[in-house]
Amino acid sequence: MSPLLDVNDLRMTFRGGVRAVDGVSFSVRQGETLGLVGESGCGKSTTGRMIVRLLEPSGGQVTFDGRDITHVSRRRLLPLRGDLQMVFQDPFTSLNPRRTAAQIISGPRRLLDRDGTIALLERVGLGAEHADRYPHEFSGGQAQRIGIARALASRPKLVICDEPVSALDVSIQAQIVNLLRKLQEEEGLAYVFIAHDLSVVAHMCDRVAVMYLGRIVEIGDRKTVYADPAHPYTRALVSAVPLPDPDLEQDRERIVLLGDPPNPASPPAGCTFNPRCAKAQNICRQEAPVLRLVRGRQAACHFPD
Amino acid sequence: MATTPSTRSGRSPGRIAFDRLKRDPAALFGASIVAVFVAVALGAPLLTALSGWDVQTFDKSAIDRSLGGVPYGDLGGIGAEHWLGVEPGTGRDVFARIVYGARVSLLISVAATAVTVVAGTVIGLVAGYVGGRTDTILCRVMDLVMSFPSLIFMLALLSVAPDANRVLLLIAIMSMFSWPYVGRIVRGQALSLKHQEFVDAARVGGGRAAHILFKEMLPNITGPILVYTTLAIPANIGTEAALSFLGVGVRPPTPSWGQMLDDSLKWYQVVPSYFIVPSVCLFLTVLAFTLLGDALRDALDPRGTNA
Repeated sequence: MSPLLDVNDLRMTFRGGVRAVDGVSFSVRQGETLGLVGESGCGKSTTGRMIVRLLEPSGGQVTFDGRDITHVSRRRLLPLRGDLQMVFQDPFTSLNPRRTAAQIISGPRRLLDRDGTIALLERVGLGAEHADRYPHEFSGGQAQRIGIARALASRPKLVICDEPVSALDVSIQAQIVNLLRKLQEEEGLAYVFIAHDLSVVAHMCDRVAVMYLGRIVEIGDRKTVYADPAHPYTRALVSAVPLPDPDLEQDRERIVLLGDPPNPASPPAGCTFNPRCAKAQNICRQEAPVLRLVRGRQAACHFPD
Repeated sequence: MATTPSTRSGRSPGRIAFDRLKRDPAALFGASIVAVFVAVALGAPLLTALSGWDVQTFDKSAIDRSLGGVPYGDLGGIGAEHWLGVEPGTGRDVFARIVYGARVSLLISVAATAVTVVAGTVIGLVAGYVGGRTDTILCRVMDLVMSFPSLIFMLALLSVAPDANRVLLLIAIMSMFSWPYVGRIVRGQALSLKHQEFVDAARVGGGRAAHILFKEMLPNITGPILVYTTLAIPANIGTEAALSFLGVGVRPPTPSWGQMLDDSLKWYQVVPSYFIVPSVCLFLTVLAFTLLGDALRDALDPRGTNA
């Protein structure tokens, strides 16, 4: 079966030569969740925005449901819009303050009638009494539920979740993650779940792609990647995930990355991770590693662990 | 928790501003004067029927022809017969000319403001949202228009323009020079709004450009536009009066406050009331609209207190 979403060598170069996304490839099957993780500025949000065509890719290809949507016009994209939706990071700026919850949910194309809106509100854990309220009357968690309801109004097949919980309190994060999982089971949705926090991704995803400076450095099964990371960057990220057991938490070794990610306008030669990598050798400064199979997942490292 | 009606759910941001406005004495004062003048302008035929004198009737019995037309009686003939006196030289009723003048002043200034605001808003929204080359071109055009010394150009244009419909001509020329001011404000707001995620969300939802511009973005900038509108109306009343005063505004016999002021200059030593009446009317309307505009700006300020 062909995948629902296939992203091939996607590139985004902003004005001034900043290569925000530099050749990213992955695919998402129906009903599956792919986590896209990395530090801020690594290009994960840009990737998500290119998939829903909020940004025009500078290169590469996005195939959705068997059709190349990389550069199709707004009108040709319209029939697919319903199948491809997005949940945004900031629950407040993503809701228009001058529109009621019901207006927001049924969207520009007025997809739902009153009953449909209320039914959807109930499915995301809100009620009919919320339909006529304005965004400023909601809490962050409630506002994000409305953002999720809006994405679901058109019964999509794939939802890009762009850090949907990172602006919320930790206690609310779990509720929203559980809601997203429940909806996934009910609807057979596929998610691309963008996050900078591996512990959130751990609860959500079937597969994980770790991005660094516009490229995927490791991609594979969540269990494989988490249990035994191959790329030193992934290893550092995984070591930062808090463990529930306090004894284990105390004893384990943390890998602290030094420095900041390099400027994407002038990335270092060779492996872009080499200035922060403990294992960097001469070859790392000269030759960029490509993704290759390492113990059941793909990693881009000359010296995988 | 106690819920008073004003904190009930579903209170839109516009509603909140309106509730604040209702508690502001300056706003109430301004609004009531504006209401009086609007009522006067709308009910002009009724009011002149009540006072018994229409705009064009010459009352020869009210002026002393041997003195060149000075009105009989004190204060320019103010009394039971002519409520605000008569026009020196002709004997026309000043009250009638004031109420019909209010029609002309308000019609021209409100219409010119409406054209200005609509044109400026649409152009500003498009420039801000579309960006790129469209934005550059529209901005240069706005700069160009704003760099004209507008009063001089209005005088020149109005002097050479054909005398077909003076009111329409005034509206067109006044708005021609003022739309870029709205355009600038709206463009700036549109620029910051278009990067908000709710605009992205509308695009992902398949919204067409018209929906995004007028349903998503415009409702978020009604505040500044409304404030500009209420402040532009008094400015336009002033401009219309100035143009009529300078002799290029509405043509007699159509009455206008500016024209009356111009006429009164010839008589101000003998009949000061003829000068005072239109001045007070101009002053009051301009003051009222300005108060209302200022109050509106405060009411719409999200950082304002007692929401």
